[in-house]
Amino acid sequence: MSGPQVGDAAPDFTLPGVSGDTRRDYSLSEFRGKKVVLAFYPGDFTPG
Amino acid sequence: MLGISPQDVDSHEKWIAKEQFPFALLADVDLTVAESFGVKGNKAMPVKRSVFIVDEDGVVRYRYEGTVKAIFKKPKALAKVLAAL
Repeated sequence: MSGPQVGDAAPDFTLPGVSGDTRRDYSLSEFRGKKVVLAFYPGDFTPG
Repeated sequence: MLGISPQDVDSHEKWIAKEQFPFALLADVDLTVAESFGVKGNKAMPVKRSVFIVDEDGVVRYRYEGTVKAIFKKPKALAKVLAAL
């Protein structure tokens, strides 16, 4: 298995994103001090 | 909660408007982030449905990697993991 395993530091990233109708760049590191759930999925408008 | 997929922000915005998601969707258009987390899929399905829970210190505390066709784990199971951290 590649990528971080349980106990490993999560690789930081910055990606463009949108919440509601507000767009901005999101970095994983900005959530330090909080728990974050990251959900990877293949496509918008798909059930999952 | 952050959703991450290869579509662009325009697509995300439309999906959020339709479903009224209370969380952000991020555009990993070139799959760089999927690759760094080891959840890149194949040509037909570019990303495996996967969930990571990252704690206050940036450490992975939970990893679920679906197969290419898998659906997400039930929200209750994830809530249990979160509550236990």
